[in-house]
Amino acid sequence: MKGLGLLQLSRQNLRRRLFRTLAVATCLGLVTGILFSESLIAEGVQRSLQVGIARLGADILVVPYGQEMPVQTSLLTGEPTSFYMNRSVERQIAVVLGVERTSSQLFIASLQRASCCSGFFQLIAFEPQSDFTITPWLKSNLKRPLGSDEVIVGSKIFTPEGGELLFYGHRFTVAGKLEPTGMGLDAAVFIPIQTAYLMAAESIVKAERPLAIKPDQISAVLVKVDSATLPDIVASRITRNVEHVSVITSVRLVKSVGEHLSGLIQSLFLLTGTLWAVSTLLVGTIFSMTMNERRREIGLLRAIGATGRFIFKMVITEAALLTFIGGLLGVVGGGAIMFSFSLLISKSLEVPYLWPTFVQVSEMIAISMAIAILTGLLASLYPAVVASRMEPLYAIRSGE
Amino acid sequence: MTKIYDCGHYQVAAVKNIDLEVRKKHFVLIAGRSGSGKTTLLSLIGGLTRPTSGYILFEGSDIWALDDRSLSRMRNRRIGFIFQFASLIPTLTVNDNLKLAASFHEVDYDVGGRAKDLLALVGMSEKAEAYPNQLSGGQLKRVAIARALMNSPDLILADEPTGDLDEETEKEIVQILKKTNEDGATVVLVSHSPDIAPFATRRFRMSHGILTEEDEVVR
Repeated sequence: MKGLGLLQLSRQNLRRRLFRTLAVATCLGLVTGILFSESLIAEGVQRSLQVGIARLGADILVVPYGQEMPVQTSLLTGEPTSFYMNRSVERQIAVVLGVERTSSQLFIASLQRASCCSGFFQLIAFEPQSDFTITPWLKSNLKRPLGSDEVIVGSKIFTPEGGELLFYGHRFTVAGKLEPTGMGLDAAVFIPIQTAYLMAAESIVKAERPLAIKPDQISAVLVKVDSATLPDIVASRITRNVEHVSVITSVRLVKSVGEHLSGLIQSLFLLTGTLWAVSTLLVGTIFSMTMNERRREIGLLRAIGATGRFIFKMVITEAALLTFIGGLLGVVGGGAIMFSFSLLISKSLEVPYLWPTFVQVSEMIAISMAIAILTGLLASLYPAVVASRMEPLYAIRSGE
Repeated sequence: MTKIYDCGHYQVAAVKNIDLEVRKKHFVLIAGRSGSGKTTLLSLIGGLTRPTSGYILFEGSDIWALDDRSLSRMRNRRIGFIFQFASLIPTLTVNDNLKLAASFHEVDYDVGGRAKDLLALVGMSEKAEAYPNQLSGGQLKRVAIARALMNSPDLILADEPTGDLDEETEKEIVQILKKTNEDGATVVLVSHSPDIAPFATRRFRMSHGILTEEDEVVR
């Protein structure tokens, strides 16, 4: 029969030295928490872009010349914008080599603080016949065409299904709500394009300010590229063949967000790297000091039969337990902060954000915990080797 | 054997050319002034420090020829140490301190039962769940003796086990050591106590690292 286990001995050491345990665990928890939160931001932005671009369904977005920045901002953050070009642009794009399908959209910003509008939203009017953004969703979810006075809303719009929304004096009924994407699309209201033209015509009498759109005007052309051609090549062809337009590819959209975030993420990771190095040194120093204080104890353990290997394993187990606690604190704390403030962070960083999937979060937890434990192991390696190699009598005497 | 401590600019010979043979079941008493090398000698016998020159033979085998695992196992199973200072692990209860002796190598007895019996033997049953900082000096010594006896060692090395204790506690501890010796264990003990001298089969005096036998008492 065995006496006390290694784990039991290490656990007792941590429990009876509570202040040291908590101090080291908090220090490591802080580093792990920051690292975990950064990973959540990076992964959440990435996921949001993937889901959002899949929802958009287009490889290329063609907008009036010079409007690419407002469109990108609107798509990413939901900041409402309005701009128009002639519908003939769609016909010119449709004949460009490599273009499989096109569909027009109208981008209308509703009026802010106006009695004729329910709020300041981005209205996106789509062509039900050619659309590939909302129509596939309607087919699988609503299972019927959208009525002329019906709208589909993004997940961030609180009006429930069956509720009413008022834009430019025109009353709409909410027919459905889209799943969140984390992008600006979540704050958008989708309406049929014919109703948008009607709403514009009526606005002269119904709205506080009229909506000046002619029936031959559109805001953007969404382009789906055939599978044999790269979107970048088609984008170049559109730029060459169609005048006065700007072309945004989904790849470029992702890239621009990446560039926007890269500086911040790099700085954050640099900060975390520095914090990690400092905390590794700190934990190492605390462990060395603790081992110095515990020299007599180590000598005693050796005198009553502990091998050098046992002492090494004891120090390492203690460090692993301690850093596991720290890692757990960090993951729980970081996760709670991100869960509570993700919207605020997304808004202040001007990036889309969607909470990563369960698998992604699990992976990040595992990596963060592994880094925390590795830090503890690395920091305690030297003190563990020194403690395990101490001659018992020397340890006892130098600890007196 | 000789043990010289290297203190940087100078060296101290704590044990000088000592040739000592301890026979089974003997009770050896070593007396001497502080700093005379008694603790170093006990530590050499118990394999806690390596001699600068010479050998320590345990049942004919050189203990420093053993690897760390075998030497640790020998210290654990064959030798029981009782130190001069409070030698319990502060983070463990009295009971766990005893169980600790059975933690490093496989044992074939009921650890909990043995700990209970030994605590009863040293009169510490009621303090089984106490922590060392809740015990008096005498109680700490008793628990240390109980722990030293956990694995029924062949050799007890006791370094002033009755130092700083009141007369009554000292007598009780001497009785426990005497009984252990009578039960078959060899005892090598460092002490100034006149109460122990009558039980010793051999008495030595140590001075400046040199060991001199006073007389041999055959029981």
